[in-house]
Amino acid sequence: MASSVLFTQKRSANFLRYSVIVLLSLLFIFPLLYLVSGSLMTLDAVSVYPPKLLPPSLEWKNYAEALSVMTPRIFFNTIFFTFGILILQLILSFTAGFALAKMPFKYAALIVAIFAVPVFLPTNISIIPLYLVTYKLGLLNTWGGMILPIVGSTAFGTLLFRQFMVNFPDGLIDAARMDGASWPRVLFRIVLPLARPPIASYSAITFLTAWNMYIWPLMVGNREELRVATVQLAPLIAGGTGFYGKVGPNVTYAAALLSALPVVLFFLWAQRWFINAIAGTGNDS
Amino acid sequence: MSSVATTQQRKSQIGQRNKLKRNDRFWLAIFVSPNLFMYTLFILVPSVAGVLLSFCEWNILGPINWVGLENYRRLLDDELLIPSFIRTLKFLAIGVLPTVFGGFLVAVLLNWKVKGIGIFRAMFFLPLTISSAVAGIAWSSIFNPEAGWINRILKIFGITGPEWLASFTWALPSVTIIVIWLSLPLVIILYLAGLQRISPEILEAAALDGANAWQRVWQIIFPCVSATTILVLAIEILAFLSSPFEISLLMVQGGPLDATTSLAYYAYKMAFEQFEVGYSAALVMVQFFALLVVALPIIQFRRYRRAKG
Repeated sequence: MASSVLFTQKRSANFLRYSVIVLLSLLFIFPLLYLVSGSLMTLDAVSVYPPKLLPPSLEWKNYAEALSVMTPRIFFNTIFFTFGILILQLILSFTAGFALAKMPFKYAALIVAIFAVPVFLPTNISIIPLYLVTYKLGLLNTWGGMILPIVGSTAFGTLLFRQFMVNFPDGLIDAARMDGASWPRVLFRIVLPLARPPIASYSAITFLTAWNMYIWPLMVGNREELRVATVQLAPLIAGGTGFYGKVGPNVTYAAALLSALPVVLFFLWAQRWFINAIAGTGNDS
Repeated sequence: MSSVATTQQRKSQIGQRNKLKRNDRFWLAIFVSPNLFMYTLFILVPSVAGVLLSFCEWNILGPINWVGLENYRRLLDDELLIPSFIRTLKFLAIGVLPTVFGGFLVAVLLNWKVKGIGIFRAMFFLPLTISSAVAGIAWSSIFNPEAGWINRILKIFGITGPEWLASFTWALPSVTIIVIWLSLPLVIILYLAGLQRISPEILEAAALDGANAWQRVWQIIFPCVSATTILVLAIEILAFLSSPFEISLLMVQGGPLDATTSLAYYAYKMAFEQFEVGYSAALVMVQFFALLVVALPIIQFRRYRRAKG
């Protein structure tokens, strides 16, 4: 008797918990759900008061129009920017992380300490001087100026890969060295194939950060040939004014969704890597 | 790359110890120095330059003049400094704690092995993938005073909502809400990871049903994830020092009437609108020292906890 009361109590508690989760999560992503809904409305339907929850008719042509904002060129630029940073920084961090863990030398500890410095520095302490360095190098409004200064922030990747390499079995490396394998061979033939988890974690985080970066590309690459998605979308934000630029809010929503789509899809596909990467940085520190 | 590798390999196969050592150093340099060079050029040099520039006067076009502590003396007379500093504190005060505690509660709710929970977790993680620009577009429509959803719903309860982003009073809370929304996924993920490490018996004891579930969450579960709480607190303090700047820049350009101009934004304006690079650097230093004052106790506390085991 008592246990069945307990059972129904537990069941109703579970039902309550489930309902709270469903309601909260829908409320939480409501801004994005409305973005999807509004992107499929006509200009009249999206501007009317009271606002409509669902589009009366599906206006897919908004997306065709949005391609004049998120042009193929803008997509190309965003991809080039993101993968330029991702690949260059990956090579730098991976090789240095390996050397700092597995090629013992006098200054290894010192260099590791230097890489740990920016953990304590807010980014805006260096952004203005960073702009000046880029200017002095003649890199303003070039791909080099867009990508290389960001590639320079190798601290996260280097420390991540070093941590992985420290735990990498010495036996494998020593055996290969004994057989006469060169260091690059050890690194690329033996360590690299086993380093997929940290590489995936690093790539997930860097992809996301670079794709969504705004202030740096705004400062350095506000030319059509260099402009990335965030910089292209920024003038379309209504903000406090409530006014939209030359395109209507429905087309603006569609353009915003087009720019977010690659990251969202990639995230849903590789969610595990994202979560591991983020949770992992919290675990060992 | 591969031809280089094979010649090196042949060299090492000759097997002379000396040669091998030189070879080691060669590869060490190849592996480490490009990274160190880029890091020095684009992180260390600008950081040091930032500190030095705070003792200089420079309008970008003219020469750089060393003025000693003049910029710091000027801080004392700056009527805009204190208000922007207070706005930074407001962002922290109304942003950090709701993000940390809200993230914790959502993580507790989501820490449940039940069918379909993955979908709801993914929904809470989603803003992680959204850029500030896209968030700005989405939230502009939600906050719109006439056609936006918030005021629409308030109207149902007979309340005439404020103008949100266009209101002097409500712009700062509005920007904070957007930053909270963008920050919550990270907090939830970290807390979910923290909750995984609690032993099942403890979670059992704090089962989320029956009377006083709310109290048990705070009295039993919350102390178990205190390590995560400290980490999250540190991350969010840093986030709320910088993220409101980006959202404010995108959505209201520091306005209306400077209502969302934080210290970081004020320093940015000083450099890129007034072209007073030196004074801007001094403003950034103020923020840096303010951060130290907040962060040092947290770092100390973590060290103390870790020492205690």
